Amino acid sequence: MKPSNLSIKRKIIFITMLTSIIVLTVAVTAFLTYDVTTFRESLSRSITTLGQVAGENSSGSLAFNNDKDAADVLNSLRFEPQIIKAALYTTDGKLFVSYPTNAPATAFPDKAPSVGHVFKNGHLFVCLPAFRENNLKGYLYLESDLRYFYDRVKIYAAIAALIMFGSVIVALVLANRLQKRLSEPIIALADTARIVSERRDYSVRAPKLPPDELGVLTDAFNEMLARIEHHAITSAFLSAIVESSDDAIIGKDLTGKVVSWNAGAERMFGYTAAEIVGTSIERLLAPDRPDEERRILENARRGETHLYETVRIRKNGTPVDVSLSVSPIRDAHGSIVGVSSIARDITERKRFEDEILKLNAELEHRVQMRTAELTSANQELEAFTYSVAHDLRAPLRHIDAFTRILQEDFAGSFPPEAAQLLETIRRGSENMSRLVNDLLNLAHVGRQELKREPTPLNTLVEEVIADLKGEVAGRDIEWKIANLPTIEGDPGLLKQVFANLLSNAAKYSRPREHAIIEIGLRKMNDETVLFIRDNGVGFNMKYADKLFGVFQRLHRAEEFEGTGVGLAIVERVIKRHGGHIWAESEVDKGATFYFTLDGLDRPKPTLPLRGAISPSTRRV
Amino acid sequence: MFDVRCSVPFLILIAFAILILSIGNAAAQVSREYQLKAVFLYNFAQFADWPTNTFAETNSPIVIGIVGPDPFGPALEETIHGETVAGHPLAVRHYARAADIQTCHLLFISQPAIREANEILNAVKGKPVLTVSDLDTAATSQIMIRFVVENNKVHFRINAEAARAANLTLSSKLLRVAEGTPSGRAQP
Repeated sequence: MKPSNLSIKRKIIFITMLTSIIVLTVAVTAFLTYDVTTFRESLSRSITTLGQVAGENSSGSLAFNNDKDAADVLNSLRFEPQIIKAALYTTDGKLFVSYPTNAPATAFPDKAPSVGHVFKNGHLFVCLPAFRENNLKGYLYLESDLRYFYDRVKIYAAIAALIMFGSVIVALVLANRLQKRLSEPIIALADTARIVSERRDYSVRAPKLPPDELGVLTDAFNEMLARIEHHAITSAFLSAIVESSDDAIIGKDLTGKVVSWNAGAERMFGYTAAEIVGTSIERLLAPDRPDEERRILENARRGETHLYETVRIRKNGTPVDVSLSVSPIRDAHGSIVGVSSIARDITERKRFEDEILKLNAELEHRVQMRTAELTSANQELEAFTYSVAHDLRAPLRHIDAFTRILQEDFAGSFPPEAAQLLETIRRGSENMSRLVNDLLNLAHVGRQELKREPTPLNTLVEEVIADLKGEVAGRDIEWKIANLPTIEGDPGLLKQVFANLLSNAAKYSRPREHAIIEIGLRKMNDETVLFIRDNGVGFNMKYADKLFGVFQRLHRAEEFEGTGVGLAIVERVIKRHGGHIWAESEVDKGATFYFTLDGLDRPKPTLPLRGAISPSTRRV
Repeated sequence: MFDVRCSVPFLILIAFAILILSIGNAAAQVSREYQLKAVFLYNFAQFADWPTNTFAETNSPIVIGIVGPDPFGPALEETIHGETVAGHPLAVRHYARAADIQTCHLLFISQPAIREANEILNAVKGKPVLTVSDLDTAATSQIMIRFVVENNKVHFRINAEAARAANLTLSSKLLRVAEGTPSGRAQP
């Protein structure tokens, strides 16, 4: 058993015993005092009564001066052993007869003492008047030895001592038994507390007790342990995180003295926790920034969290670039008691940053050079194309003109085969002329300055359909035109887009008896998309990527005429309007061209138009 | 014995003369004897009970009668002066001879009167009168209390039967201090 356990048991027993002994002592003392007092009173009363009887009896002897008879009366007192002396005095106070008879006269007072009783030197002295019929006949003097009385007191005291001794033994046994009910839960609690403090094991619990104060204490203790356990686990997690961090995590008090120092800090600054905890953080400061720490602490004291990028000095004297995140630490009541400082080594980052900046600058320079090179090459190329196309037009015109002259002026002189060949030459030159025009057009689209003005798309579509009238004469085409917005753009170029796409749709739906061409607007992947759909011959999606290339054709010219430049122009215009174009199709199931344009998502309000602006279906 | 019938001043004169003549011892003794007897008379009244109808009133005096010459001088008067016994004051009467005796409670028969003891006893016969004789002789055996002087000490003897016959109750304390004549024992 532990000394502390012994101590609580001893204390309880000691208190119990002290209380019992005090109570017993008081009780016994009161009892004895009461007994002594009442016994003295009753003794003096009984002696007085005895004396009154003897006085009465001796009144005759006194009255008739009969000393023998008086001696007889006094002698009868021998049956009361407490009375050791007695004497009769005459009315004038002279000693008359004394008892015991052999006692010398000097053993008695010369004169009758005053009436009454007095306790003195362990003796009781009583003096009484002796009367006969209310006439004083003399005085009776009695002396009682209190030895019997004191013997009795001694017996009482002995009994009291015995009772006390017995009671103390009983109290000791009872206290020893009953103290366990008090001390055992306390000892169990103390043992639990000792295990907790010695082994730092917060999973132990004190045994459950009935719900008295000790029970409440135990429950509260267990509750506290549960919290500490939880806290310890959380704290272990946190310290593991702190310790495993590459960042230096440093706790400081409000004067800048280091309180905690993790492994990251040891690695970063070279000081061990043992070296630096308890000392000022100032030894890490760069000599050229003496004021910095004071400023940091002031900010934290105001409750502010700040990020700093600065320099600290390692133990070996070398500087280290750090970013500091400094925040105040508050206690449970919210008052600021310290500062947490998380330092990250940003030497590498700084180096990378510098490098990236350098590389970026280099890249920029290179891009500029290349762009300049490309721009000039492009310009040269376009200039070349333009000049070639332009220069080709004159000879083509000659070929066309002279072929016409030959056909018109010498029509009859040619054999039919020659006329046929001439016709082929003429169509070939027309084709080439168209091709050259388209190429010039394409070049023009690339070079032309873009105009920006509000362009109502419905108007544009109407115009294009009107222009197509001659081309589609005699065909059954159903046009489905949705309500289209007005957008900011180049009306000429945009018209060319619709012209090319709608004429393509009309062209490739030619085999259909009933052609349907739909111009609409829909949402796809969060952007607003214009689409033109036909129910024509379509194309194989395998070649979809070739659609918008120059001179790329998916159908033979004999079947569907064309230069293979139209969609290239369309793509270029759409790109210049900040959009893009793509197509979906299946052979014989029609094709759909989708395209976006800048400003399609936030269109200009559509101007009121003549006629219907709702989606319309119209036969041409 | 001296002549006790002298007057008080005379007695004092004699006593004074005796004192001066240095033989006062005897004179004082005589005087002391009767002083003591006077006190005894008074005390007898306290140790005796009379039938209640003896007294006309509760404060009627107890009358002490003296037959023959008064031997007490002023001593008896001095002794009873101002005293009471059970509420009764005391009074002294003197009777020259038996024929003079009137109602009294205690009757002292002086030495000269003992000669006519029978007459005196007849005079009080059947009455509750406590009779006291100055001497104890053959003639006084029917007297209830008789003084005896021995070795200069005054004692008395009691005839308890006579007292009982007279319807008087004597205290046992009185009987105890009396000299050995148990009641009923005939005197010679």
